[in-house]
Amino acid sequence: MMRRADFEGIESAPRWIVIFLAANLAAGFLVAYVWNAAGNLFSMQASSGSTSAFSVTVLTAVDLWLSIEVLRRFPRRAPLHSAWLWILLAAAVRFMSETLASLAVCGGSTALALCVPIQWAMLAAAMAQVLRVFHRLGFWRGPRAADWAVCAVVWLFTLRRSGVLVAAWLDGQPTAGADWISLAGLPILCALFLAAMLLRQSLASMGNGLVTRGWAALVYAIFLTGAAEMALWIIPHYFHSLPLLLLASLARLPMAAAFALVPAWQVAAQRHAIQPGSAEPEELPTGLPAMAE
Amino acid sequence: MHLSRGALIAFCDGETGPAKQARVARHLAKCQKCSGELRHIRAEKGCLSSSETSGFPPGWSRLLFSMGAWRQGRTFGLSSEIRRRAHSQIEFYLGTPAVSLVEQAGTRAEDSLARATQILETLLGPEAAEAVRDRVLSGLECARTALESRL
Amino acid sequence: MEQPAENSAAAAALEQEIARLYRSEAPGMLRYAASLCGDAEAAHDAVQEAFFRFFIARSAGQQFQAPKAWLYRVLRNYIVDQKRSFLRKEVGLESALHLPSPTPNPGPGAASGRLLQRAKQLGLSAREVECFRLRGEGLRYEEIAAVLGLQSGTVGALLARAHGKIRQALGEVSGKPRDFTLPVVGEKRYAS
Repeated sequence: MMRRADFEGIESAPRWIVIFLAANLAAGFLVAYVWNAAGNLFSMQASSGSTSAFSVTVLTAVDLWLSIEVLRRFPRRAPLHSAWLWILLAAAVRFMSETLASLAVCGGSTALALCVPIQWAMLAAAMAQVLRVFHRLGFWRGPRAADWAVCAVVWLFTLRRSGVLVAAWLDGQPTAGADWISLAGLPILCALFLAAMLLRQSLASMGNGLVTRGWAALVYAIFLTGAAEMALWIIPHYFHSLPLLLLASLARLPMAAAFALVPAWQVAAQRHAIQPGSAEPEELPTGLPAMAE
Repeated sequence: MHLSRGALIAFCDGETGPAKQARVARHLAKCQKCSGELRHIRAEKGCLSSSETSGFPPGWSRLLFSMGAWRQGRTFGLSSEIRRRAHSQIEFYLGTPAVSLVEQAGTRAEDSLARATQILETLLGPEAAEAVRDRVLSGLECARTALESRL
Repeated sequence: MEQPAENSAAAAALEQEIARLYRSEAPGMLRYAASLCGDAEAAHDAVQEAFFRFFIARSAGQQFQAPKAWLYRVLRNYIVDQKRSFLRKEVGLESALHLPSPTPNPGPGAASGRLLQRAKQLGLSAREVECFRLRGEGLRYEEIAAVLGLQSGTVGALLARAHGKIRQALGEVSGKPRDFTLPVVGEKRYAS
């Protein structure tokens, strides 16, 4: 049963993020339903795009703030200090790109397109450090066949997209710089996917504690990133009737929420460790006279 | 311009940095009011001190006995309780499967506690790990239990 | 069962480390515990508990940058827990420290009890008194802050406030503390 205390303090951030996401998704689907029922009489972009962009910006700001809170608890020589630093920097890049896109202040789409592979590279550096630490702690598990299958799908998508772009360029068709930058980021996405698979296996060997949930959120965030990247390229090529803008805005929200949950769960775990509230794992006995017998 | 009471108290307690300490000392050499204030502060420091002086307190042999009982494994109840608490902390922050890693550390309670603390320090940071370790040991009456252990 | 040589050497080194700490810190810790408990036996138990937990933590490989502050913090928390469990109800930290010990036995703590009474007459809060006592035992501001769960700046402010209250109660600037025959002042809580 939820208590009021469960929603107070920074340690309740995971709950608030999920509630915020659910509310925004519900509003987005409602707008889509009304748009569909009204026979496309009003602009989808005007009604949902700006609201969604604002919500994503809010989530990336929360992500950045919580990442700073997490990093404060890790001294410079701590094994995970560099991993959280990379996560913080990736959050900063996400926040900057969302803010600039929302304000429509940018040096063209090329600059914004650069932010995507940069933050992926930062996340890949973070994942490498995390996997190294998990391996040293004894939580390492190798990839399974299903993991390789998922990675293969991403690699095939990368090859397909590369082929299409190169063919268009060879045909003399105009290609935007942003397309080439996105293409350059895809191999990083493949590496991220492989790292996410390995992290998922390691987390399965740990369980479902507070700390584990944070890293699981990172795995899901990377999955959503890859799925969105693939969907937003495939839809305009093969499914013209689907509302691309609406789907794009709806895809960015869960991604932003998943990334925000990574430091949120970590902060919740750290705060609980330092200042446990009423939600203790169990009652601790106060004496052992009987057990000493 | 005179020094604040807080600055004089910090100077009196040796809590100021070397540069500030030199500045304050120079000021005190020239300012009678501040040096008088410092004398009052030194006198006030002693007003809540106990006049009792106790030498080396008794209890060392008692502590030695407790530590010996722990090392020789005669505090089984205490050891198992500490192990159980270490496991429950790992279970809460990581999950049930992760407890097996702490169990593999060995049957000694300090090994389980060390392993749990190491894992939590890596994943949560040193401050959080220390707080968790202190919580594992709190409320246990460790010394009394070790003292009452059977031979 | 025979221990390997290195384990014996490590155990002996740990014992020497604890002996050094005990020799240097136990007297001050006992005085501090007695001022909190008002009971000699409870103070001895608390000091034993703090050192034994230190021994367990060191046996588990824990390194301490500030062992003195850690010992005092464990000592204080143990005494507060003991008082709370005696009452079997939740009380604030400051209330718990002001409550009488379960088995009052003044002993060496009698003088500390009188000092506490004196401090109350001066209008000092429990936290201000603790800061004073801990400073008297040679702890630095950072260590006092770690024991009491405060910021080190707050410790300086508490001490300055305490000095101000003492000065006001003394009411003179002769530099010599007078005999404390002041009327009892209501305890003032410090909201940190």
